[in-house]
Amino acid sequence: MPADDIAHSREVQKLRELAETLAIKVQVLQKRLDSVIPEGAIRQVAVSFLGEWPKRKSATRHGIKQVPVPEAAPAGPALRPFPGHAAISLRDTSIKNIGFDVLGLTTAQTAAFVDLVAERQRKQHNFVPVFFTDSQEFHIFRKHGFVFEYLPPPEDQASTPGSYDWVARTAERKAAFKAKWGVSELFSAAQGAENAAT
Amino acid sequence: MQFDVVIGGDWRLEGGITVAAEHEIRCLAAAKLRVGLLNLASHLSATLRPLDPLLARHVKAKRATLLSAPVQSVSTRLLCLRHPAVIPDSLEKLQGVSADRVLVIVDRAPVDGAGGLVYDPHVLHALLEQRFPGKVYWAPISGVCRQNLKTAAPDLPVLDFDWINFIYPDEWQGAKRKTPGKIPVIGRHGRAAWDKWPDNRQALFAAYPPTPDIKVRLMGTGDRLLELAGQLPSNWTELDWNEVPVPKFLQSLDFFVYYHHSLWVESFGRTILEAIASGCVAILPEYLRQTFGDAAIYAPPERVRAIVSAFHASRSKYLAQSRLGQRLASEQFGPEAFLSVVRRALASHSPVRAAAAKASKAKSSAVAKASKAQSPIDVAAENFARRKPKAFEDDVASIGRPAFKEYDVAYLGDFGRNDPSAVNIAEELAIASQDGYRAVLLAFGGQRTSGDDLSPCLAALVREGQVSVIDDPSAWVACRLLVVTSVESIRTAKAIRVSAEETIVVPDNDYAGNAGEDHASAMKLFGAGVSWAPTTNMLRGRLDGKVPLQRSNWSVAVRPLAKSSDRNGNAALVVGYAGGHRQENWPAAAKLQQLLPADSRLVVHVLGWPPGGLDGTATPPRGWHAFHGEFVTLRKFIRQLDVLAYFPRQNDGNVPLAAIALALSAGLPVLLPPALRNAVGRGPVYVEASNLPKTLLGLIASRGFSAAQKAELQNLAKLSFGAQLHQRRLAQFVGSPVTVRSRPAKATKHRRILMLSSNGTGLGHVARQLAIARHLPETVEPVFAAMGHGVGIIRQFGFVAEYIPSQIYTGTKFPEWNKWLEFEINRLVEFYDCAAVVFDGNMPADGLLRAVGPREDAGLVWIRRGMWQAGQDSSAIATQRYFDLVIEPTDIASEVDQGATARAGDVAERVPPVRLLEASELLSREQACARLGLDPAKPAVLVQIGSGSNRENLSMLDELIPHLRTQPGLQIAIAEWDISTDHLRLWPGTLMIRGFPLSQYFNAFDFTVTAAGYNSFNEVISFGLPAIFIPNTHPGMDDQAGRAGYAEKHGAGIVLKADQLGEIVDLLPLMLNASSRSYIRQNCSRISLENGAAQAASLISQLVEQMRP
Repeated sequence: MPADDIAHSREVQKLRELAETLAIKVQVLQKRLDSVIPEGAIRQVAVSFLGEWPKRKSATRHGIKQVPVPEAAPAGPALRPFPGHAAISLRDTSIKNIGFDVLGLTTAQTAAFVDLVAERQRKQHNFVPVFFTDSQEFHIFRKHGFVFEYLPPPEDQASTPGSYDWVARTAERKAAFKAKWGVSELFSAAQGAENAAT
Repeated sequence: MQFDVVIGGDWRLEGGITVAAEHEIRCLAAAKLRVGLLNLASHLSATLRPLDPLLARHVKAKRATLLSAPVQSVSTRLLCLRHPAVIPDSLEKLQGVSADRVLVIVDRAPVDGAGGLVYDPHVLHALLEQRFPGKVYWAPISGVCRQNLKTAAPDLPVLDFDWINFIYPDEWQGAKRKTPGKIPVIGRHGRAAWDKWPDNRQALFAAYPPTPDIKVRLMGTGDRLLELAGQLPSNWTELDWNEVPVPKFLQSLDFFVYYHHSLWVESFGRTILEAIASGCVAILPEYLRQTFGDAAIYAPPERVRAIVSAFHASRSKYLAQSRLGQRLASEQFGPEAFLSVVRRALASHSPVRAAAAKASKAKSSAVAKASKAQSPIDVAAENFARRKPKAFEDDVASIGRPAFKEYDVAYLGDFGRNDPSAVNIAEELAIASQDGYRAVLLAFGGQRTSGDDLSPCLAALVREGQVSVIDDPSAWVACRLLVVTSVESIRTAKAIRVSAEETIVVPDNDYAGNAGEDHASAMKLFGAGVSWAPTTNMLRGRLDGKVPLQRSNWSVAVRPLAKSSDRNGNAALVVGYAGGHRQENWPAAAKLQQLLPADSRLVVHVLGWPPGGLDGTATPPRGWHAFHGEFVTLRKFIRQLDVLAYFPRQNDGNVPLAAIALALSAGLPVLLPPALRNAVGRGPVYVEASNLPKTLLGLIASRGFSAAQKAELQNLAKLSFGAQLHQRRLAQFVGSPVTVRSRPAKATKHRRILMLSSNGTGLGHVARQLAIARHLPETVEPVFAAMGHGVGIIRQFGFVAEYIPSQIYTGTKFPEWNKWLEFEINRLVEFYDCAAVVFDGNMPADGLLRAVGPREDAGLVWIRRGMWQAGQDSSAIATQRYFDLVIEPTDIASEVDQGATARAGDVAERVPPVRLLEASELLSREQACARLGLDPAKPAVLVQIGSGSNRENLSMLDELIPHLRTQPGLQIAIAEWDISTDHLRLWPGTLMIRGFPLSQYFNAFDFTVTAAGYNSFNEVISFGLPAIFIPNTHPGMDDQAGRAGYAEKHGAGIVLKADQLGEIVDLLPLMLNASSRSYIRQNCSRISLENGAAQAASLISQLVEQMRP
């Protein structure tokens, strides 16, 4: 490798390490700040749309075509996911990717689980997590810079039938998830929680 | 000019038909009938040739008047058209002919020995009926032709007597026939065609025994005879064609023995009649009894030797048969017999046999084999058990009955090539699928293809479930018909486990391999039932005599193409050139712009480009629209055109017939050079290259073709290239589909669309889509897929949303990410059964274009707001050509739009700015304040300077908020973007607002400090909220400075640059002054525009309507 390229690679890696350190610092400082600012000093309010919105019947009530479940067909080589803000120095390394199935968890459970994985990653620095979720609270993953895939939750599935059933669709999505991100293991958080409980 | 009989045909060709015409002229002229000879030069001979000398002699002697096209004011009692294959080329030439009766002389049987259609009588009849309504009749020349015609088209009006071929017996009888000498002499003469000889060596030697007790004399043999016989037996004598005069040759024979290939059907057999007339005892296949009756002996070839021996042994028996033949030849096939036929045809009463016709249309496809009782799997299993074809041998010991996958039609070839042949295959497969045939692509025929690497038009069919694909060469496949589209696949395959009842090799037109060797390879792979079907006469000529040929060409057949609108009132004419990747299909680069000159009224679309450039020119000329075959199907390409042109540098036979056929079927003018007339036939306008620009300008002036012209083109396209051509092939080779295709579900009025948004810095894309979704009719149900993070917001409005992680967020490499994007979009379209994908974003990714561009079952829509920054990368604009619909929600500040979209031409449908809410939906100040916990009696400011995705907003807020705090009583609310990652709570005493849509709460505020993104700006102006705009000038953003400046210019807002935030102190008094705010509100009202969401929704609905299944 030419000397300039080597120097460039080193500089990129150094910057990544710096970004990684800063990301960790921001997280720590935010935590500290939250404990310092008195409760209620900063008011927060969530808004949403108020009023009439066209309610629609699903087209499937009127019949959409039914097709066989497509055969699994990997679209191409596995992608290398962004490792997360606090592990950015792992970028472009051949470190293993681990999939985490967090389907069916509550928002709080999901957040707690993701924070746990983030902490484990920070300490072990030897894996890149990728999540498979049905939560719309994407900031849970985004605040760590973690890559995730999303499956519409059961209530959406129930109201929106597809060309084949959702059980098959879920299986298909999981297979694609594994192939797309080249995950060596897919860990089920719900299963883990059950195991822990028993 | 008036005639009794006009005989039409391509009289430049020599052969039996010309001889027949010569006889007819001689006979009719002698009977004092007025005869016209109409020369119809056809595609059967592409070269310039003079009139055949036999006929020229009669013209010179004034026995017939030569009528050359174009004919004017010719009237005849009888118009006889010889050689049906010339008819499609001849209609224009018959314009000036009026006839009391038109006879199509069936001198070529329409169905060959294998059941293949040589020509389609229904098509020809329909063509002629257009010109001579109610006057067209069919006249077989023999019982063989009559029966054959009945098989192909039982419902046509057929004369109830044969239009016999005749001879002048005196010219053949010569010296008195003697009985055979010590050794009988058998023989034959005729043209040296491959199919004029028996199928194999065994049959050949049975008919022409290689034994010393018989002498064999053959005149006109060719290579095929040597191939079959190997070395010529010593008792055979071979003479070149016409080496001796035919009468003299026949006098040297005792027996005329004639057996040919099983694929050949002898329509009449003039040489046989000549032999019989000369006194030879003719020994023939049984089927010719229909033609010659008692004038010949009929037997299988194995009995020839015994028959010869028997006649040789009995002098009286031989002479009796010889004389009987001569007498019958004279009585039944002499000039008097012919004149009798002519008189009957001229008679006023109907000469037509009651057309059995009324027999159902279903029966009219009598060529179709009935559905075969035995399934392909059973046949395959039998083949397997019999250890053939050879491919099965290796497995016979180890496997019992293999697990065959069963199909009606299988195609074996190289399906990765994105070229016209792929389009042809795709059209055939679509036709088959629509008719319920089970079709499969065996994608292991090439070096480069697999199931994942199909040409886009074929991949689309696979995705749509119309065809299966197998890329595992070890798979066991049983089918009724195997079509081999790449000869390469025969050569490279070692063992293909495919069993087919019928295998047809359809080589590319530029095939130049060793046909004999390739055929032998095919036989090894697939067994005996292999034949070849060329796509053109040019290729047929090259293959003739080397391989068994289907009698009819494997012609292009396409589904009709519907074109929704014509030019849309545009002055510009869109001319398309589908040259593809072959250099030969293009004119020389230097000539290109002469042919299609730069003219503001002419828009040029080209499909494909030679990979290495055209004569070194890497890309099409500037200003032309180059379409990449990966992103668009030929059908979609043609749909966008007003005219198709094709002027290759040389006519090597590789004419893009599918493109031409589709254009004609859409009623588009097709402009071609005259040299292609023979290859393409009627329909296109043939102009010299030098006249092309003038012709195009003429079309601009006339606004294209008239409705009547279009209808005629569409009719011609249907007849020449319609789906029925392939349907007949399927009926012939496959029979009825085994599976009865279920009737499609009653077309539902309800369809889904996929609203796909790119990963924006804010919520602009999602907000616009929600706004449009709100106005969609109930019949169109949106499902969302966001690449950004607005899924929660979309759900809030009751829609189902999917999420596709963006390339930027995931930090992945574009090419790999695009492959997955393509995969995911395809799965979404299929799962949700979407009729369209509506993309809102600035950069349509390749994966999107590859996924939806080639789909016929889903439209592609681009919602693309304007106000791009002047220097912004505009390369994405070029992709608009792949969209079925581009909607540009305009901007209140469109007047100052300097970006790429403002220069993107008239492609986009422009609608007023799209926003989610109407003013009437905003909460009152009291309601909004109550919801937000603000005091309505005190002033309030909303700070919304962006999500922070591409502008550092923390320091900006930290600078702004202290300034705002200088105003006593001012309530400060800060908008937190739902999609933002940083939720830093740093400023005590402020209100942090999360959620969507904030605009519904605008009345709670006296003014806002805001960025000038599309939604924020349009909402602020439309709802009259006084604003200090801090435009985000990041290079990747839209022209926020332009928008803000426009507002300021019109007194509808104030601009504050990001590096001058301190100056806000001077602006705050203005914003807190009620009169000032009122002034700003008035100006906002003056420049605001109506909401365009409903219009955009309507355009999308219209597209969905066109995509109905």
